[in-house]
Amino acid sequence: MKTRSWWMTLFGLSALALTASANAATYHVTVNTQSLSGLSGFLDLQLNPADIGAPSASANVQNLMGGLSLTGAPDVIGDIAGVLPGSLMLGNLTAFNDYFQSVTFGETFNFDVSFTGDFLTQSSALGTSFALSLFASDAVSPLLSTDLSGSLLRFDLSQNGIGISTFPSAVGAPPAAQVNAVPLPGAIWLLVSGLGLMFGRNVRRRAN
Amino acid sequence: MRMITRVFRIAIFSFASCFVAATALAANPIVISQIYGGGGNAGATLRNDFVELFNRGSAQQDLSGWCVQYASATGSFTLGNNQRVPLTGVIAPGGYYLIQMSQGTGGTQDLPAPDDSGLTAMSATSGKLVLLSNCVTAFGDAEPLNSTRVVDFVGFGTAASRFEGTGATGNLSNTTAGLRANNGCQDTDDNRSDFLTGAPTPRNSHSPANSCVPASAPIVPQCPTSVVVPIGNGTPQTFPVSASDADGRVAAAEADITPPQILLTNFAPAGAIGGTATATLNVTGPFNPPGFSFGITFTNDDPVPQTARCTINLVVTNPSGVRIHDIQGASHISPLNGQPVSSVPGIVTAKTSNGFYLQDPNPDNDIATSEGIFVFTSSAPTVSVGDSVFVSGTVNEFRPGGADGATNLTTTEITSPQIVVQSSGNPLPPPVIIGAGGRIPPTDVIDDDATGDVETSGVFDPVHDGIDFYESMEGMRVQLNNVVAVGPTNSFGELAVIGDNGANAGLRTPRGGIVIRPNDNNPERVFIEDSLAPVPAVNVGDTAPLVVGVLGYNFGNFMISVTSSPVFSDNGLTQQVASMSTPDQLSIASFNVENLSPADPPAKFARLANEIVNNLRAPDLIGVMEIQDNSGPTNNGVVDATQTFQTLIAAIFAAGGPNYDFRSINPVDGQDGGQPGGNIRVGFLFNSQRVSFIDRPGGTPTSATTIVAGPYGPQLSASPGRLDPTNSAFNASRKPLAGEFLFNGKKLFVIANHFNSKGGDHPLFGHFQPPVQSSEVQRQQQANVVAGFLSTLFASDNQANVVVLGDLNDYQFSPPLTILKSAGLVDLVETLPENERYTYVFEGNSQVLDHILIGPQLASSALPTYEVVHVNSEFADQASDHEPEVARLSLPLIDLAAQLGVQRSGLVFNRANQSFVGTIQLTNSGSQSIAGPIELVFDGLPAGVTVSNATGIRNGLPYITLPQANLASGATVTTTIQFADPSRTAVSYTLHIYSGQFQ
Repeated sequence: MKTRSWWMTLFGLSALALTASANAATYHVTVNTQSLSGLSGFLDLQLNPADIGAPSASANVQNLMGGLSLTGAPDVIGDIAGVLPGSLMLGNLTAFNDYFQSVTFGETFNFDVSFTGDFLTQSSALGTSFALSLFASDAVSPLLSTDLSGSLLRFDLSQNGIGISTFPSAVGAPPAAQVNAVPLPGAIWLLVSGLGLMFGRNVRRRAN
Repeated sequence: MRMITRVFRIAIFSFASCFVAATALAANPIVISQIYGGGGNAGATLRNDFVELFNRGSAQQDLSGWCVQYASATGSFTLGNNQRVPLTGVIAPGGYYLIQMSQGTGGTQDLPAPDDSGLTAMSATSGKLVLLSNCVTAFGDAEPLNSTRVVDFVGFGTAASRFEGTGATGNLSNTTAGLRANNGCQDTDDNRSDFLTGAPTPRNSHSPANSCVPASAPIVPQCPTSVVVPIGNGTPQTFPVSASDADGRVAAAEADITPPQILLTNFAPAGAIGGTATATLNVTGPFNPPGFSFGITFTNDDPVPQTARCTINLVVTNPSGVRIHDIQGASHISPLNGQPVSSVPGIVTAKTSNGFYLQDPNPDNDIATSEGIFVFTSSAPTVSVGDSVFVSGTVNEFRPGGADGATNLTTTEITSPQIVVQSSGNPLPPPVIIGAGGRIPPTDVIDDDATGDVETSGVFDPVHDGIDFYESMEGMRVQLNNVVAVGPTNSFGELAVIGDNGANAGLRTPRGGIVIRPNDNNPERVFIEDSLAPVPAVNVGDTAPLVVGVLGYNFGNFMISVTSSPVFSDNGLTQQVASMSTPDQLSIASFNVENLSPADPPAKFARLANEIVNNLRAPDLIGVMEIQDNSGPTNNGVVDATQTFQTLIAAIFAAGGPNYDFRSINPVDGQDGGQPGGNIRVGFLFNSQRVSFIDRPGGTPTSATTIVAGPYGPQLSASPGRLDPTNSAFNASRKPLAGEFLFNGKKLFVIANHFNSKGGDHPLFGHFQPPVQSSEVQRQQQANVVAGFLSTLFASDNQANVVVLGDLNDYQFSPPLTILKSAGLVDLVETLPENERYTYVFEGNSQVLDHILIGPQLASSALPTYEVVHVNSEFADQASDHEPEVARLSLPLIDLAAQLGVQRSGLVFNRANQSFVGTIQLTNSGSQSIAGPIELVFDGLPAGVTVSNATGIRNGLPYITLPQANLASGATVTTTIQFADPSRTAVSYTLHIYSGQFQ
């Protein structure tokens, strides 16, 4: 069961990454925080380059909605503009660009994120990544993540495309974050193809 | 003997007796030496009169029965017994004897302790004294002065009525005495001239002796040194003899010889002082060889007669006697072996502690037959160099070396010799020149015709066969000109040389030595040694204008015992220094350190360390041989060698080298050969800053390491591990030690060896030809074990990096090395010019015993370079008998930058562990598969930033190993990277990506 879920996730992400390649895109992120509902903690958004000198990239976070209550003022470090729940713009001009917001978790929350910048067209070994993490009230204990980075999801931005990784919330559990592309008209067919492949893989595993 | 002597003496005396002038007075050495009659008189100092006697001769005189008798100047000797003073005791040669006489009333001093005393009151001015040897009756006035009992007579004072010679002494007084001249020595039987007057000086038996015997010129005899007569009843011969004495007269002659066949006749004594006495020596025979010696003693007629003796050697020749070249013959074994020979003539050319070399000054015309031979006297010979002698004895072929010398050649000798010296001081036969102007030695063939034993087979061919060449000069004086040392002087004072500046020699090394080649063991090379004269400590290449000596044989070699110390010039041989290595070159050395143990002095460790650091330039990896256990040669069951290794390592570090690590496996006690108790073994020293060792547990003295499959190809089951240690091929020999090393991502299998020695092989100049090389069999077996091991390895990975090194105790062209080369190895020494192929100098032959061989992969890709670093074997003073050698293998890191597409993700900061986390994605953009593992090296990280999930640190840089064995063309691999970065510093770095195994 674990294997099947893992494979499905990877395959799906691959398909989604294909759909997002070589073009600016908007993604709708939904985060299931049911297990944290009522608890205080922190929302952490980062957009960091592999190193200074990476092609420019920016992430625009909008439409934050759901059961997440923002409490207090955010800690902002680096190339950040805007304030949640309004439009938030994260850039990669410095090594650490971080928006750290104290929150009270509800059942779920969601937002849209879109990426632009030179990374779309400029070849470089240095990528930039956007990550969402949740921390407990101690500000250092990651929540709902098994990844070494402590994040729930990560968008890896490069000329190769936008790679999306979501990480299990716990060992053997599904990721807390789900990402859905908001497709451009020309890309709908590709999205459908990707979903079809995902389904086919699922069938084959069952046959085994 | 006594009777014969008497006969001769009588015969001679008849001539001598008429010349003996004898008066008792003149002949008797006892005289009256001082007379004083004023004792106790007015003005006198002494209270007593005295008479002093003196012994002019060389023998003690007993005075028992003697007396002195006084009479007044004109009075009679018969006036009373009180005038006669009897004497007692003895008077020593040169001694005085004081007789105290009457005391007066005056005077202030007593005499010295008198030896005798009387009451005679002597006149202070004149009187008469007689010294008698028989005092039964008084001296009579009519008794002549030459009466036999009159020892001496003195009339003193001019009024004396009797005296010796022309008159009495001068008048004496109360303060003067009569003193015999020359402190009593003068006695010409004339009182007037023999006595002086002066202050009395009484001397007694305790006074210092005064010898009157003058230093006399010797008698000089003239006799023939030797008299040569034929065996049996030869024709009588006469020989004149004579003698003279510059300050005397030779009056007698006597021959001290028993046989009546020798007579001394016609003796004529010298007519005057300085004249010549003559006689005739008559020799009639018969005599038997070899003869004998006798003497003639000449005597003069001095009061104390002198003698002189000349020695005459009667040499009895055998007209049909053999010559040395007949004994030597044209062969290794004398045709007269075991047979008696007599009267063999020759000149003594050199002496040893138990014999001498004899050479015939009249050689035959056959170069094949030596003119020299050794005469074995057992104890120190009594002959002198230059003596012409006849030797009789038994021919014997002596094989030196005892039980260990069974393979040696023999030396032809005459034993139990009877030696007669014919004459002395003869010029020595000229030496045979070995080389230009003389006999040119063969340059390659030692023997090519014997079928097992040169003593019983083959042709004696001194022109073409080296062993016959030298045999044909055995025992002779030889000379080499323009000598070059081709080995160092060894601890036994032996030195291998060639002549003529090497003009007729084989392949010379650039440093002056001479190398062996297949079928060429350099017979032009010969030893000199120091049993007769010192051989200086010299190095290879040093030169001397010449060496001269006698040619002998010992320890498996012909050796010239030099009869004068050769004068060598220093050719300036210096220790070599290895070339520099580049950072991408792995430098590998092989070094036999010759029985190294803590029992060695620190100086040996320091010298070896200096060579390793400064001459070898601190190789990354050193295969060492002959590391002994911690107790060295003490046979106490200790096998561990940690102390030996650590002492060497500490010495290297102290010399400025790296802090080496080591790996080895202790042997089973006493099972690996070498010096008893030493438990020598091979081992690895390595600089872990440059090369790493892969430890795989399980290696034991008796378990074999094997090739097993590993994640990146074949690997050793145990590292370090021994190759097939229980195989009989390694009985009493060192077991090969295999280890896995990593350098620049590449793994190398290194096998250190120390094959069994050449001990037991026949010497090159032994009597078995061709020499049997029995030790080679075991080395071939050992080589087969190593080759078999490599075969298994190559079957698993034909590109495995392999180094086989060590003291293989055999030549590059030998069967054991052929076996290794057939297994695919390349012997790097063969990349050198042929005249530089040597790691050892044995008996002057430069040769390869130590090797570094590499496998085909390294040979084809690692651009190997190789040097033998000459620091030891050519020097009289050496830290080890072996040269170290260094190979450099170019093994740069394989940089994958050009073949890989690299995509680094952005870094996400995890507050929990204060680290940035990201990924690195690699895509093989080339057309070829990339061999794994792949190593990511993070270079230049900011201070405070570390790689949390690094696989390791190499050369100070963290790296992450991507364990994929291979990355196919077009394939992608992604790895997570985590940087600990509490200060959230920008994680800037240069990423290097290599193919290879870092650990």
